[in-house]
Amino acid sequence: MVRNAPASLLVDRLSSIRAALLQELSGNDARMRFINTRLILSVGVDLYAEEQDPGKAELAEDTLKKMGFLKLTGGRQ
Amino acid sequence: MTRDVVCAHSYHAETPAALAELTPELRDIEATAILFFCSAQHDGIAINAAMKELAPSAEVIGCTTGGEFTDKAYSQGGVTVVALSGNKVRRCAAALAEYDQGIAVDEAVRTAAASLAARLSIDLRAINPDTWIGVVLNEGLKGNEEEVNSILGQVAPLLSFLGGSAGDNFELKETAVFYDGRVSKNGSVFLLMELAVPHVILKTSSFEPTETRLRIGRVQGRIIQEINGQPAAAAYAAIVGAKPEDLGAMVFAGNPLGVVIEGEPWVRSPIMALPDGTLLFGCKVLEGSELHLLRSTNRLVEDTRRALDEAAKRLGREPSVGILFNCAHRCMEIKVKDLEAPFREVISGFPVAGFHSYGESWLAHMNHTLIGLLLG
Repeated sequence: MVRNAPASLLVDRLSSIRAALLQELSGNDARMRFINTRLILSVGVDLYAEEQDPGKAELAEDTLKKMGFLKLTGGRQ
Repeated sequence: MTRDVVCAHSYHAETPAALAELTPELRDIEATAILFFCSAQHDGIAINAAMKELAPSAEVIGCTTGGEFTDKAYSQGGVTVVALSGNKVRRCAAALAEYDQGIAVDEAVRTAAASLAARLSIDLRAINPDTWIGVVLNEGLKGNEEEVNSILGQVAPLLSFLGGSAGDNFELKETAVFYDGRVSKNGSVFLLMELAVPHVILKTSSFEPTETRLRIGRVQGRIIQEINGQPAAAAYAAIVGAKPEDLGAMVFAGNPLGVVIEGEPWVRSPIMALPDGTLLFGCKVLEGSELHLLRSTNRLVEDTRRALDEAAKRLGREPSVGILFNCAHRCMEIKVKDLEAPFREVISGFPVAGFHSYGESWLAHMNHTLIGLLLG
């Protein structure tokens, strides 16, 4: 679980989620921004924000999985 | 010679008279898709049937409004129709999701989306968002828009569904959407189109973010209970420099909140201070989120002109048509500030059809915004 992880680990986790998502979007930055906008508006998670509350990475991952992404990235770490 | 786009309007308040005026305009187009926006006093089922009779192979969707307009007309009580030929919409399918038939919103939207995919023999996750676009018309008073947008984001994450929520001439009693001879007073209608021409989406509001940020505390539905750890109404009043007892339409209209993404505000409008000190908003605000206080640019007309110009520039050619969903709050502002003539002039540059909506949709539900789809 990452809920009580230090901020640096959360940022690292968001960074790895970004990388996995971008790969699934074939490196298409415009589509990456589109999905990030969806995330910000629907669950309040910005994959690019430097300051994140604990649990945001988990929320981002869960929401992206509901969207059908991150199927191959394994579960929470 | 047949036409590829028809934007027609009738000021008539009686449906038979409106149809008598509208139908001749629609005889010289072989329509693939037809959208109509009518006053709540009109018989939307009859309008839907008449459009279907004129264009049996077209998909026809519609909704009631807070006012209707085209590039040539502007009304409350009338009907606006936009018809698109196969040279604009290669193919399309529509579906109705009803939320008062014992089916949850989630399941109803998923079923409607699956119906669209099956009828078009497509995978919603695999189609190209550069050539496919969805329109969603939501019933405007039941508050389901956030969930509808969320489910659309799950079933078709890369696809844009944009639109507006139905209105009822500001009576706030009953709004409706129409499809396939049916009316729903608690549902949404979806139209998914494969376009034969380029398209762009525009979003504009006449607000800009201030440096003032508000931390949203407890939230229940569209009611915010706490802001910055204080009772919401009192905290909001202090921030905007108003007395709590003065919180009303004028204060709210000039001081909405917004989620700011890449400098652009996504407007969340307070609409009522409730007796228990909470604030009712026109859309859901996420608990724990940080919103900016917005300030009006006081340039609704100029901002709209710039948004249309920029959208046309992105399109790379003169738009052949624009379908516009303009917030009822903006309609009120246009009326109060006597901006109807300049606003109409701004939207008169190319064929346009639209309505004043009880909330706008694109990726999320929002307020006080103009959302538009321009086709090449």
